[in-house]
Amino acid sequence: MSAVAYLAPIALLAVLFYRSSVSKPDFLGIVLLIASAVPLIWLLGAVKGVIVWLALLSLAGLFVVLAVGLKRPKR
Amino acid sequence: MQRDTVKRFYLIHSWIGALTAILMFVIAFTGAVSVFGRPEIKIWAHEELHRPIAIPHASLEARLRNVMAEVPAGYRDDIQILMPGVRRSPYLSFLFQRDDENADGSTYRDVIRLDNDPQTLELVERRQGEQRELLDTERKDLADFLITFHADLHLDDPIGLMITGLLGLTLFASVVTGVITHRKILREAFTFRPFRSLRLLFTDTHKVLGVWGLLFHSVIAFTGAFLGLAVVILLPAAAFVSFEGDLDRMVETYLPVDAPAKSGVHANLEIAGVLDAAASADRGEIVTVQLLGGEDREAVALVYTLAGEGIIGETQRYRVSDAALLETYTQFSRVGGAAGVLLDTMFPLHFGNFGGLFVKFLWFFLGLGTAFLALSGAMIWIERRAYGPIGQLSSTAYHNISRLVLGSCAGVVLATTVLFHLQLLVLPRVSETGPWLMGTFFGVWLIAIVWAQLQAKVYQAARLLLGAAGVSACLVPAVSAITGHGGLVAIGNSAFSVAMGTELVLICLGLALLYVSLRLPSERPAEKTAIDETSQEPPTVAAMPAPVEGAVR
Repeated sequence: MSAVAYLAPIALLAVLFYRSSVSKPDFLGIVLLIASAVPLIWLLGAVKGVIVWLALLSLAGLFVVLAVGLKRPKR
Repeated sequence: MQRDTVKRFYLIHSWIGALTAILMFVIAFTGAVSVFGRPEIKIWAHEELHRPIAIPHASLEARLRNVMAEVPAGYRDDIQILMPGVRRSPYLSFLFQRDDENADGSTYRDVIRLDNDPQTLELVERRQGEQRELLDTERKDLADFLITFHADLHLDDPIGLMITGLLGLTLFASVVTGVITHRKILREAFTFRPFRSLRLLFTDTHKVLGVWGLLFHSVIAFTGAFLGLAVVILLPAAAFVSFEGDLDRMVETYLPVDAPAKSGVHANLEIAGVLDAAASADRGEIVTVQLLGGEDREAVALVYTLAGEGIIGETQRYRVSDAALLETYTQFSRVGGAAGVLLDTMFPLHFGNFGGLFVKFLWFFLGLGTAFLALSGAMIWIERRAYGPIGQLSSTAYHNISRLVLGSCAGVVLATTVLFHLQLLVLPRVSETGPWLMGTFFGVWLIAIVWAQLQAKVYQAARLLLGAAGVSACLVPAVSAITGHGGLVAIGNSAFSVAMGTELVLICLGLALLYVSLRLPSERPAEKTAIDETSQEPPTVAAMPAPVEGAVR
């Protein structure tokens, strides 16, 4: 369960980026992303869950953007 | 917002970043490493901590009674027990403390410190002296060195703390001005074009790091500024306003260490019951136990723990004679209200030590992000001036600044990895570790800076320094195996340990550094032409900087 809680925001973020072709995130993606905080809050409690979720999201977002940028074909 | 106002904020953002970039990188990088300082790197550094430590509470109590018999009675009313490998001490340390008076009436605390092996509980070292003096002459390891360097740059009080505190403020100012300046913040969060041009790479990296790490940078800046300036400025100011400048009285009011009223009835110091009760309460790991009241029936034990379920460590107050829990509080809960909670969260939010290794890794990588944010910002500043129309100095001068920035930043990475070798090869064999740590770290760093200044190709210099840091990090497990230190070499004959994990992480980071080093160009891509002193040709349109938003397109 804890693995799911930690991986959910990362996976959703990755899906969100690829769905929106790294241009603009869609509404459903953002809702799902926010919803991905629920397992972490359930696991760690409200304060710690939200802090960890935000930190996880920051790092995952950063890595996904960098990875997508590096994967793009060179012009 | 008016275009001119935004431009002013951009200028502030740009100059704050340029002036503090090297220091910011150094503080952020050592801060990211320091996240693992206590206890992971400390455990790796001390072989006696490699095996799991499980001291039976009864054995600890018996050991305490044994050593107490050899300590003068005046030192038994205030005893601190530092648990091994949890925070600062690699040993099971007993500190017997007594407040004395100098001839001029001022007070000082005399301490007898007994360090015991965490596995065998045998005495390793006995030292006695004034509290501050004992602290200063303590044997330091690389974890202590890096954490102290991050906190105060190894400068004397209050200069070091003030510098790091002010740096926190400047980071916060950079965050605010950066947000105001970059109005298309959401779009910039999704834009990373690494292959178009070097300047675009720096600009996009800076924006992506800045936007995604915005909350983290803000939190680190705010808590860092507070932790740096609290002792130096904020506490004296608060004491001046509320306690007529009496700082001691203010500390005693809000952070009291209440000694119990003695009954005069003797009771054995049975702390095993207290430790059992604290362990079964299932809060955080016990860091320190303070025993007040000696062998009196009303003696109390203050058990300080790491954060358990929450994010804040607690203090549990027990009566020693019957192990009854009297009170549970946090460090600042007596301040009360939101202020108390805010003060309590400063440490865990800054150090990321409230959620185990996972949160520590999050803080580590985000901390590296803060470091690279500073570096990429500095490189944008240099690029715009060396290869754009706004530079006031010659291109040679900007190239020298570039060498200084890259040499300093790559040099501090190299110096940090070299400390791991020092820990293995030298520190266990010398009596005073401080000068070795200082000399090696600052020596390697200085050599790297000077060497980078002497290189014709600045990018090649950064490549080689990062490559050397990568090789150095990858070699740590090999040196550890040769010196019989343990770590990775222990795989196969013991359970996974923190020491093995530390060396695995070092190998991964070393390989990452080598990869970056191999991918970096050895010189700046030649599509842009530098405006040097001999050529005053105007820049091409492609090399013109963007007017306001700092985006070099």
